[in-house]
Amino acid sequence: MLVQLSKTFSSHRKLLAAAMLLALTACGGETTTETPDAATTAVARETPRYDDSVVRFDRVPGEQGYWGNPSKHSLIETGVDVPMDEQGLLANIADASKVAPFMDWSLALYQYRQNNGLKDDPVNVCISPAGPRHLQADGGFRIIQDRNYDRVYLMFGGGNRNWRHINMDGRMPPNPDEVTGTYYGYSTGHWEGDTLVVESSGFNDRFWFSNGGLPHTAMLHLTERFTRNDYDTLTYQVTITDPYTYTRPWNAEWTLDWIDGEIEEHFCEQ
Amino acid sequence: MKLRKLLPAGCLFALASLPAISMGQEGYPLDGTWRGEGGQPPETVVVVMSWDGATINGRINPGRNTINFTSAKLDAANWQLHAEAMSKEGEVIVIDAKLENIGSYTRTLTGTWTVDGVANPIVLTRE
Repeated sequence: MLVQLSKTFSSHRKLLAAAMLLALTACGGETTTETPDAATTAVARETPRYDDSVVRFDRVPGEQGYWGNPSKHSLIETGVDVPMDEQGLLANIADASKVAPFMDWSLALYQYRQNNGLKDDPVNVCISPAGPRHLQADGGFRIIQDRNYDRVYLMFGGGNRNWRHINMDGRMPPNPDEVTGTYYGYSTGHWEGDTLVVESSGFNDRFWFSNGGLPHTAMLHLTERFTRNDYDTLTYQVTITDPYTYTRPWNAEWTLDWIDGEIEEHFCEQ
Repeated sequence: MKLRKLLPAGCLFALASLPAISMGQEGYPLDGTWRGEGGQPPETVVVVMSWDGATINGRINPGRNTINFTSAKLDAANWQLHAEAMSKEGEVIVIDAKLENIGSYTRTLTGTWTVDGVANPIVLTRE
């Protein structure tokens, strides 16, 4: 009896689905008469702001949401297009030298890591991703502006569900010779128009700052630019400077989507 | 008695920590302190190396009798180190060694330690 009921329900569901599909197809036919520009204008929502017009990077009161779905899954120099999978593994190892302006040793180490299938990735033993990699990790992140204390917090759903904080009170970064390097470094931020600019240094070299195994040393310096282009889109630009690893500073960039909902609970387990 | 009880737990903890330690990998692969046995008869040798973006700086047996590298080069394509130094007595020391097990924190340099033209095998392990 139960089986029969289930079969009847299933056939009704199929009919309903077919009817919905027909209706959607008909509607779709009508919308194709709109120009793409008009459709985009209709969908894009304005960047949310505080009362004093400062851009709000996190939720408006009463809302849920976070940043995720990065348009790129690995760090690669802007303008370079070489195929790699979502783990940062190159489709063709001969493309390795195009990914960033390597020194001889860093290219050799990158190739070594690629050739062994990224098996030495510290993430495999629950060492958190850090730097730009954390902004590409599964789980997403929030950018929380603590305006009482002149700080910005980046709270991550991916990696080890950690957070970074960015000092916005105008302080100078510490003397590099007096800093013990850390995974997230020391960050100071300021505004350039509507863009949040973050300078970070004081990193240790015990993590991979990209999932494909790009090397770095404790001399790593990041200049990150966060721009909320509209309500649903964040552009992330980063300039990587590490004179011990790369022959010149280089840039990478991707966008992220505003995702409705809460960051899911996630903890790294070996 | 208490110590006996704690010992198995301590061993388990140490074993559990081992993968995290052995899988650690850092920036420039020669940076750090290396220790091994070299010379004839074999003596403990400590070598400290650091990369400054252009030069591999190195010190042999840091302390009162430190010997600084006079030159060092890493052939990254083959992970082969060639380093030279001169002792206070004027002996020329040459290290030719291949970097192995690069993905490990305790990677090794395996090759020869030559003093005044006399070569002996050496294995230096990163600490």
